[in-house]
Parts: sequence; structure tokens; C-alpha cells
Amino acid sequence: MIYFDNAATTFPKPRGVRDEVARCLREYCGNPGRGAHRLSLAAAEKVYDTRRAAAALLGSDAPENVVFTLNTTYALNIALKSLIPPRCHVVISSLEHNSVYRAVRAMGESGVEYTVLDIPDISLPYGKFCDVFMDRLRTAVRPDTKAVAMTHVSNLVPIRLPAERVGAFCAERGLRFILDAAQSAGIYDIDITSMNIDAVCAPGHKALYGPQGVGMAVFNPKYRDVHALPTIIEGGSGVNSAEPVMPAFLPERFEAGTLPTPAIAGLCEGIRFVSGVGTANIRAQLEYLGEYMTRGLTKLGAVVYAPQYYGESVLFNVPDMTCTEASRRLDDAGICTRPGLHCAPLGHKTLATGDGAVRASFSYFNTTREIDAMLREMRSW
Amino acid sequence: MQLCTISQSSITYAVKARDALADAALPSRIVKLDPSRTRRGCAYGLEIDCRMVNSAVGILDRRGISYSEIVGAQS
Repeated sequence: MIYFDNAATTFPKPRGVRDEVARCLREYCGNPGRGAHRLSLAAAEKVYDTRRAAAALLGSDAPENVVFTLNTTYALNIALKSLIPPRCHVVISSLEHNSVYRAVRAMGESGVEYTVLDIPDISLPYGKFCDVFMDRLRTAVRPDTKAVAMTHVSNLVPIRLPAERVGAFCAERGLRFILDAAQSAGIYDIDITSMNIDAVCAPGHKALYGPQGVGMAVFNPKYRDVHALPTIIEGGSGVNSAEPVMPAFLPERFEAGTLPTPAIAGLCEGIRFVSGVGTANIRAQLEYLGEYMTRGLTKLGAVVYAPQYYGESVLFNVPDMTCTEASRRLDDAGICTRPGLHCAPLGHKTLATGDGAVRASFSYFNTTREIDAMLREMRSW
Repeated sequence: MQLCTISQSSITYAVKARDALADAALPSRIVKLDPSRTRRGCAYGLEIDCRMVNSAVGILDRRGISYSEIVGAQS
């Protein structure tokens, strides 16, 4: 089997991740933050280790500001719905995943309005693309704009939006900045402090190579007393139990219920793996694979979207074939890809894919031999 | 030895505080506080030799780690 669906979830996981999940289940998986017996404390220690690792990865010195969630979608919902007040305006981009788009749209019930900022022509040189993006952002902001929420890297094609410049702009204008790092955490360097990001939301199970079942909303270290930030889930927090409200501090304010300790334990090892290899090396490998596949598909006559961008994913269509049919044929040959809209209808509309496309996406473990096998199969159609 | 407990907001802060004290070679143990001894119900704390409380509090203050209260001496 050849696995090219790493933008959905990475597979396989590094051995250290698999081993730690098993070790957790076997040796120390008490409920962290509930009891004070040795098993509960051992689990709590591992959870804290993971907070520390995640904070360090994102340039934060505040492990307590790492809120663990089920996945990026939950993290984004927590970040968006706590940081964006009612009856205001938000700017999002035309590449957003439904986890931002649908959440912001649903906030219309509390009077939140939004503008979808169209990204510039992707054929522009990258520097000019970013300049035009910033010009459009300046135009999109209104007197009642309170936040910008955007993806760092699209889940369709490896276009990276200028998060550093957006962060600086938001800081200058007093806007909150929520970054969807679902496709960038573990690949690009993100510094929550220097990039003026209010919250970074990321999955444990994609380019951080952890298991499914964990994601995180990492709040900027400036957030200490968060009693004014509304919660969206209330329940047991392990502390202040006599109070009828969630705690006023991070992370417990946004962590109701039992944490996914085995997944968090695995994530700790995943972050260790990424830090060991280095994001620069991971990125170089992904860009090499992306370029290799793009050139190969183009030679075969496939339509590749945003072909000048090389990275983790390649989005393409095969002439005279639906994306679902192409992906099914690849699956019949033992090659896993994902067809359709990838939960990003805004992005597909922006890229003009029509009824969707096939996405092939890589991890650090994929090889050019695997790409050759896919191209060989497609050549036989 | 009489033991005092420095009450923490949560297990997260208890681990952070314990590590900060350990960095300064001050041993402490994470314990759960009886709800009768706190204002808000369940809480965690760091159990420490009462003679070290002032030093411990000073370290936590310098590291910006908040604590709720010091719960009385126990033998």
C-alpha cells in the first residue's frame, strides 16, 4: 500500500509514537487532574510534558496556555468563539477549511459578520502575492472588525498565507489573530509571540505525527486571567468543583471532561520526532516530493492546481475522468488519495476545480519510488 | 517535620510550580487538598516543609507562578 493522504492524517506514525501510546495504556494511564494517586499524577506529568513540548515548538514559554482538544476543529471553535465577541466583524480568507468558515458563519447567530478576503492571483510571484493580500486585508477591515481568522497553509495546495505580516498588521490595529495551523504545524516554524498570534490551532495527528484524538488551541502567553472569555463546553475540570462555572484560568477553562491521555502521550513523542528531524528538513523533503509529483503529473497531461507551489500536497484532476473515479482507480492499485472538496469548498471555488479534485499529500516517510509507482499506474489508464 | 501546602489553581500549575521549586533544589510533593480546606472545592497543592514556605513562595513569585493560599501546618 502507498499512502498519499497525509493531509488528512499522517500514516504511518514514528515508532516512538506507537510505543508511547502502548506504554501509556500499559503503565500509567490514570485520569490526569482528577485524583492525586500515583497513576493520576503519572498521567498528569505526561500531559504537562506534552504541553511544555507544544509550547516550545510554537515559541511560547507558557505550557499552561496549551489547551488540548479532540482535534483542530474543536480547537478552532474554542478559539474563535472565545476570542471573537458578539456583534462584530471578522475577516477570513478564500482558502478556509470548513472548520473556520462554518464556525464563523454560525457565529452570525450572535451578530458576527464576516468578509471572505479573496486571495490574489496565484500566478503572481510569491512576494507580490503577499503584498496584494495585505492590500486586500487593509481594505477588508472595517471600524467594527475585531479579528482575522485564517489558515496558515491551505489544505488543498501548499500556498502559505503571510501570517507574520498579518500578525503585525493585527497588532498594529488592535485586532485578534487566530491561525489555523492544521497543515503547517510541524512543517513551518510558528512563533506565537513574535508573530502576534492570539491563538494557534493545530492537530496532533497530521504533521506532528501523533495519534488521532488530540488537537490543541495554544493561546498567546499574554492570556492569563481568561474569566472574560466565554466557554463553549462546560463540565468537570478537576478543580474548583464547588464553583458552578468553569475555572477562570487556562488550560482548564477550556478542557471540560477527561483528556485523551494516550493520544496526548503519543503527541509528545510526535513533537519530539519533529523537533529531532527539524522542520526545515521536513519541509525540504515535502517540497522535493511535491515538485517531483507535480512534474510527473504534468507530463502525463493531468491538470495540476497551483503547480508553482511545491509542498505537502498536490491537487490535480485527470482529463475525462471524475476525481472520485481517478481516486478509486488509484485505490484499486493500492494507492491512497482523497478526492472531492476536502471540507474546503471556499478553496475549491478559489482554485476553480469545478466538482473537486484528487489530493495526494505526503509525510516525511514518503518516497519518490512511491510517486513513480503512482505515475506508472496512471500511465496505464 | 511540619508540612504546609501551597494551594495551586490546578494540576497544571501544581506540576509547573513543583518543577520550579525542584529547579531550586526545593523538594515538594503534589497532593490533593480536602475540599473542607479550600474555598472552592477540589484543588491541588504542593506539600512542603513549613520552614521552606517563604523560600518557595519567593521562587514562585519570581517565576510568575501564581498560587491561591498557604494551607496550615500538618505534622
